[in-house]
Amino acid sequence: MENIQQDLSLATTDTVVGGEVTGRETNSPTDAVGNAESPVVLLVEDNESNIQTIASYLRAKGYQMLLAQNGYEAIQLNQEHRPNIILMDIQMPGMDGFEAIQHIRQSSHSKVPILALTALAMAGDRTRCLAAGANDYLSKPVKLKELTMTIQEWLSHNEGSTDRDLN
Amino acid sequence: MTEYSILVVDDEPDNFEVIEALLPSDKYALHYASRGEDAIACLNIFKPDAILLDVMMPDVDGIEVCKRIKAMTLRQAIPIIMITALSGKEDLARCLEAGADDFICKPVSGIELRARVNSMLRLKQQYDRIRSLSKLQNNSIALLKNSLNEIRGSLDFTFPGELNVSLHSILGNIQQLGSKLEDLNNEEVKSLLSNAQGSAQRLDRSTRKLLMYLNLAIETPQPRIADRCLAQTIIEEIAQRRARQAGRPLDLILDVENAELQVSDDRLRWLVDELLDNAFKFSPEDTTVEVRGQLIDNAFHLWVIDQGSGLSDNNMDRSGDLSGLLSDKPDQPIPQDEYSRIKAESNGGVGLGLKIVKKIVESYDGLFLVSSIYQHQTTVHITLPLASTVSRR
Repeated sequence: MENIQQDLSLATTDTVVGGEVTGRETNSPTDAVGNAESPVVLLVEDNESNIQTIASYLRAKGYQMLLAQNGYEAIQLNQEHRPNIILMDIQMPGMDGFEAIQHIRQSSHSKVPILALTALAMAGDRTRCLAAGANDYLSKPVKLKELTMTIQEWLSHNEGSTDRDLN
Repeated sequence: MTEYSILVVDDEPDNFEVIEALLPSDKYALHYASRGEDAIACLNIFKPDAILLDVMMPDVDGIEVCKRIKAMTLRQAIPIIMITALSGKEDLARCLEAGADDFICKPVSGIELRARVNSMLRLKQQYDRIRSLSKLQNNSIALLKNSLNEIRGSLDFTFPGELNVSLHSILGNIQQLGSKLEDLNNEEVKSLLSNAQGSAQRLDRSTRKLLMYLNLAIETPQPRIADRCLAQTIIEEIAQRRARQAGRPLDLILDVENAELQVSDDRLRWLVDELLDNAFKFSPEDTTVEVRGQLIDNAFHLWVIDQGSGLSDNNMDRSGDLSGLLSDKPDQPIPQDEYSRIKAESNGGVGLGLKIVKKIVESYDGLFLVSSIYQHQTTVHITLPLASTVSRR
């Protein structure tokens, strides 16, 4: 639980310290990404229950989690921590997912893969997600197995080509 | 379809994937915690209808998590299904001892999982239903208690006085008739009889008022859409009749706008009748009784203003010889101005009048205000709801 709270406080405070990203290291990452250090996933989501479920699942899968609860936090955390991949909820109060994706695509860490999470009912939103710059989308409720598989796919896609290494 | 919230607690995310594949997502919203402490800390967030709990976990194991949840008053009703690789009788007994409601042995089969989860959800629903029912019952009991206390207060304070005044008057008159019949002339007999009859009529009216009051107090009437009446016609008709009965038709000042009210005809009549009876009774002759009705801010405002004192001095005459029998009882706190009028009323034999008015107004969510200028003027101000739109003026 401390880890979750740490991540949450990370997301809600304006001053983010880089060291906190590390989160809980699990002994054996079960993902297929060949990186020596475990990949960092930025989860942008405002629903507390989804945050807890997705974050503890991915953490147990061996990822490091960064949490943001709205578009502004997402842009800031992406700049500061250059995650390996972003999971972006589309419907959020304040700045929504579309806008956040557009901003990120114009930022210095613009090539990070972004997976949009959209509600099933919002069929039209999918094309909008891709138009805004998302690489892929998953409809809610997200199956966690499908989620990890998609994450792994995009991480292996992007291996070597991510600008995370450049800085 | 109803979505049930199911919390899966397992340190192995792969085991979650198995369950995710077996429970259809349109019926079950699945949540996940990889550690026992996280599961307990997040119960508030997940609000699970059932928990699937792995027994073998590092740090806090499933047995311990189960014990802790079952020790939480607010959470102990959540059914817990333990998932265990061990199928020895002792292991199963340990699960049950920890408070688990059911268990499933690995490897988990879809049919068994769904059947057990559904049976636990049924239990939870029954529990929830019973709990909401008992909450409802507690609310009803509290409500009844309040009504009962209010009625008790009214009966203690108001009603004995009302009965006494009329009954003593009837008895007094009959006693006089009985003891002095031979000495009385026709006129005197007639006068005593007419006094007794007047008192009997007052008693009759008091009884009907009491019934009306009890009806209103016991079962607060729900306003109905079909309740409609025209304010001006009813108010003018009743006000003029009351003025005539009081022998003061010239004292009445009427200025009532017309409006269709969302109030039943019957109740508006009661209300206006009580207000005017009150106003004429407690104001001196040759002083005005003003009835004003206006549409303001989508509500009908009615003022009845008389020049009475609001105190009991001038109604002592009306209560006749027996006013002395009534002691000045202390009573529950009522605002001073309202208090004096209600008390005054009680001496005069119509103590429930304003209470009835108040009850009726409250049943329509209206305002009820009594204000007095000491020994000079009393104003009762009430508001009533308009029927959907404002009608002609």
